[in-house]
Amino acid sequence: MRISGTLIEDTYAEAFTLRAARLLITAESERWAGIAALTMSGFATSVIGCGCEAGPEGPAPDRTPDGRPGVRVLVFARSAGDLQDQLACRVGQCVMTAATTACFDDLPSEETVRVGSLLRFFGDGHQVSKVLDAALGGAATTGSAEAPSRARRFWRIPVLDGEFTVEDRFGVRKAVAGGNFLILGRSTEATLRAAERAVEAIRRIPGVILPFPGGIVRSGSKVGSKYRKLIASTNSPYCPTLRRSVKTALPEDVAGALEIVIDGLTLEDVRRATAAGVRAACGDGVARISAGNYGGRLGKHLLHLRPLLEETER
Amino acid sequence: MSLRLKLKASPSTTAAPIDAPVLCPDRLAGLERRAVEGLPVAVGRSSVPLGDLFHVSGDGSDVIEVEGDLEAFARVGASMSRGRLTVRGSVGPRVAAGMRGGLLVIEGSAGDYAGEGLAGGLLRIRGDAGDHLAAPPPGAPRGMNRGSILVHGHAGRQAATRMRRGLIAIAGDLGEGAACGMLAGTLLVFGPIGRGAGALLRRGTIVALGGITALPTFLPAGPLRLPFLEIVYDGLVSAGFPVPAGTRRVPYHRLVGDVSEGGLGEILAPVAAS
Repeated sequence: MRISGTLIEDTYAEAFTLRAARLLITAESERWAGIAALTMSGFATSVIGCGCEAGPEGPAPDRTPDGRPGVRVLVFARSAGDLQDQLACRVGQCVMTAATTACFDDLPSEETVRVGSLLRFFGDGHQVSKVLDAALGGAATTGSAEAPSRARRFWRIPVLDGEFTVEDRFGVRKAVAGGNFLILGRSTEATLRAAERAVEAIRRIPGVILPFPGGIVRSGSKVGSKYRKLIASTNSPYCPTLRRSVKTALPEDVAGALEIVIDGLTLEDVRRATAAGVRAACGDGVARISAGNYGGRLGKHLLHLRPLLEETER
Repeated sequence: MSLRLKLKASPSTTAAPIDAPVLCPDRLAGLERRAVEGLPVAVGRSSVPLGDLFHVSGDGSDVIEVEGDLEAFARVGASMSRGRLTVRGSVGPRVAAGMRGGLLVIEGSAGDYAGEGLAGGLLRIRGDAGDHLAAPPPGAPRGMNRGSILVHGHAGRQAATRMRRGLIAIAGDLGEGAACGMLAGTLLVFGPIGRGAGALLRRGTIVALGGITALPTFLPAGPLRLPFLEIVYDGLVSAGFPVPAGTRRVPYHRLVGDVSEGGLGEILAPVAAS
């Protein structure tokens, strides 16, 4: 199978289940909401070393609970407990500290974790709770049709520019992380350009994030290592400098590879993003598109590239 | 299909009071028509079957419509916890007393003590409310504790006394002595508020959108923009409660008080209206 002259390898990506939360950060301007979103997504590339994976999600919402410009952020972690720890730290240190912001739950769910109820103590006794009853609380969403009507508690924490409004609890759902594909290019420049095209296409899709810097991974990993303590190490078959040292997956006409890693709220979101990204990446200077899998050792979600692209073509 | 009750004749309000907590989805849901007609209603010192007062039709669902002027009926919807009760007319005192859930809509006005001890659900009064809206039950240290009350008209004196939680929105004017000893919660008034509002306020928020003469025990604490108000207004709009445009995304003067009770409560008034 070829798209714009690029060979799509007959392989699959292997993704795994994490827990996800979706935050909606608002501020006086989109710029400040974006600053808060990027700051809280810093050092959140991989659960392996950062405790969570996070990033700004898709297009800006049409509607926000407080009517101000907003940015959505998705955060993924191994468990609800890990997610609570990460959210409390990141919202407390990176969102509450950003000028004029407020932070709301945007993923209604039965399972919730505490965020505002932990951060409220920063108010030193001057924090104020406001509960919006179920009959009115359903409106305090971004207009999502799936949002059930429920009572919602907000905390007003006094800060230097007024007050920081944060929701008491945030919804948590099972989600899919580690969706990926590899771009094998004939030159470093062509590979990077293709990866950037893929990132641009995927960022238009709601429900997914690209947690790595600029949405691109240059240090793709494989499961395990020769060193017992490491659970992941460099993906040696795709390293051009190891061509003669290990069994390589790089054809002779390929100069190197870059990986796109996709986390999404659902498998369907990840599939849609993968298809869009692969199509955007294909073209001049890109020899092949492959995907990272670990023989079923990593996760239960398999995304077979060729059937996926054939389905989305129709 | 809903259960419908139509009043046969409006009883005189000067006649024996009618105690009607039976007009409540919790008591009527699941009953057949004949069983509904046989339920006792206390009229003064005697008891009459519900069927003597109302024409009953429909099945025993927890969606109930009552048609007629119920000004002589007290405690309509008392202790309601689920379903929907609509009264196409006015009601007497203590409507929704002890309500814990569901939706109660009064198309007309409500008597005194509406929402007394309300602890959940939504009470909507399309007309006016009498005195002592959301009052504490007799002898209780706390008033309204959770839930929402929306009054599309005016409300009388002494509303939200010792309110503990929840939200009250009043589209029109509010009488004297509102939110006395309020412990927490939110009271929004879109018309003018009478004298003495917020006396002994401990915590809680009074949003005065139509002007207020604050007690001297409230101290100015500067203008602020308050994102949480937008959330509240959004909730009101989605519930079909009118919110004037001039109230949104504008700075508010904040008065803290009552300082004789610790000063953790607040009165908010739009800067433009001050």
